[in-house]
Amino acid sequence: MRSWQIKPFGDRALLIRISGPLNLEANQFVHQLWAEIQQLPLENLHYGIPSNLDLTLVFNRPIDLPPIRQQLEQRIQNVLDHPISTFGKRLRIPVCYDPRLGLDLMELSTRLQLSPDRLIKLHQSQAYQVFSMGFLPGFAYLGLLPDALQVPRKAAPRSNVPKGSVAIAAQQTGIYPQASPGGWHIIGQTPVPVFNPEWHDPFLFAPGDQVQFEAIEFSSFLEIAKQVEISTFKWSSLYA
Amino acid sequence: MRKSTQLIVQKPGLLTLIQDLGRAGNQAFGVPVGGAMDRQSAALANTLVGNPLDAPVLEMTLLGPTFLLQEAATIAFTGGTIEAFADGVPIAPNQMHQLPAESKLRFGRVLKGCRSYLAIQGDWQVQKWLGSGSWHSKTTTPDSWIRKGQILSISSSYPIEQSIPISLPEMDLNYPFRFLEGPEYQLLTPQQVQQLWDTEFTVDPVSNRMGYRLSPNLTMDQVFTPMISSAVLPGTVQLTPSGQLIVLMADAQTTGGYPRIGVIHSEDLDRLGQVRPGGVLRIQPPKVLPLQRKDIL
Repeated sequence: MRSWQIKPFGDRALLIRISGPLNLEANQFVHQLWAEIQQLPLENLHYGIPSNLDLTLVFNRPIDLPPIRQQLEQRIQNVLDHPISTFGKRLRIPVCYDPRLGLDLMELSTRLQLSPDRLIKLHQSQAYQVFSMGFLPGFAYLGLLPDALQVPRKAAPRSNVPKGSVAIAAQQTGIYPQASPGGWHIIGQTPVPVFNPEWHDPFLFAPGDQVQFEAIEFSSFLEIAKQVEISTFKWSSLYA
Repeated sequence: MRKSTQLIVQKPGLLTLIQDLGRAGNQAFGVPVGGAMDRQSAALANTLVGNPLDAPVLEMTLLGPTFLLQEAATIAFTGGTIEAFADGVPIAPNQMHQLPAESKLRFGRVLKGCRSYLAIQGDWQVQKWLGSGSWHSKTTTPDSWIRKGQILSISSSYPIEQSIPISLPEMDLNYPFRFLEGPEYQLLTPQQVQQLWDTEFTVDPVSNRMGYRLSPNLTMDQVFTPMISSAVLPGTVQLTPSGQLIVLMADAQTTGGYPRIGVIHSEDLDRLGQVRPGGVLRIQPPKVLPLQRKDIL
């Protein structure tokens, strides 16, 4: 059984932390608790940030911790006692691993002593969970990577990672929602935008979602990119 | 009743941004809270012209903009002490001004503090993203970073005749900022805690609305095991491996991987937003008496 604790985080916030290690089940607890709190919010709750092993709750005025702790204890225990095994949406994301887009693929293949084919297969060998979102709006930290793919961040970050780049670092993989500087190893690119500020809901992913990557050829990459551009892309294909 | 007013930006100033009270609510998706660095001053400016507290204002940084008014406008400015002129005549902060059409409204240097706030009465025609017009990025809020030649449109729907000028206690930036223990406070050695209280920190020139980097670094006798990344908030004090303290501000990211050794007390954040790059500050435990404040939020 995992233990948990509530810690103060300044005068207006607290965090609820579950004991390690970091894995799918521990992270699912965070998302399930956040969903449960959103359904029946606490008084003066301003916003929440679910992360890898903890949920941070921010209030719009200074808080008195003991009464809130009392309100939360039962709800936390309830979530721990009744875990939901599957959580969030299931998405299939097409990725082109062509070295023209996977800018670090060849270098990483040498470094990890895996053939490019093996590396690509391993990356698709399982579905990943959105452990948390951060860094940029819509950037999902997906985990956990197979051990053979775990590698520290690049020593020198790239100044401009293209939008849609699929990259890995440490225990996690992610998709750059827009062009930005970045220190992860780029192994491919998806033609599907994961973030668009003009959408009513600008984010394709939500914390807790399950994401499966599927390799596509360079020609399909261009085809899907075109469909996205002229708005004929079938978004339902991601949810099949 | 007055129709809409338009302000033509003749000079944008050093960094003039449309800000309101930010976009709380989407932080789970990685969206910074954003909003005015000195929220009380922004809300006060709006109050003085009869706008809602969370209406857009202009956050003017270190050197203010110059406008030509197409129509009459009702304005007020607050926050950092700034040089301000209507048709060349100095005008006072913290009170309402009715300016006739064709007025030239010019702001100069911010003489004390870092950021001043200009409220203009009426409904601002600004592009909002996730419920807020606060500057976020070129793709999401393209018009919120004020540039030369831009036209600000504000339709006035609730004119008020007069508001009461207010006098505020002098802003004291030399007064220490209250430091509360953060989730990873226990990583600090007693010597480092003593350094926190004893050091006069300088805000690095590279500091901005995302965060203030402080110098000098704390002496690092320990190496931290890498932390699993977790939430950060405006006011969070991070400690980097080199010993540098970073105080996160309004535009900070929502998660981070550095130990969160402290949090600046939320009542001191507005004042912190008035410390300029190159400025100095001290931090103290929360038992230090708070400054007298007039809260309107």
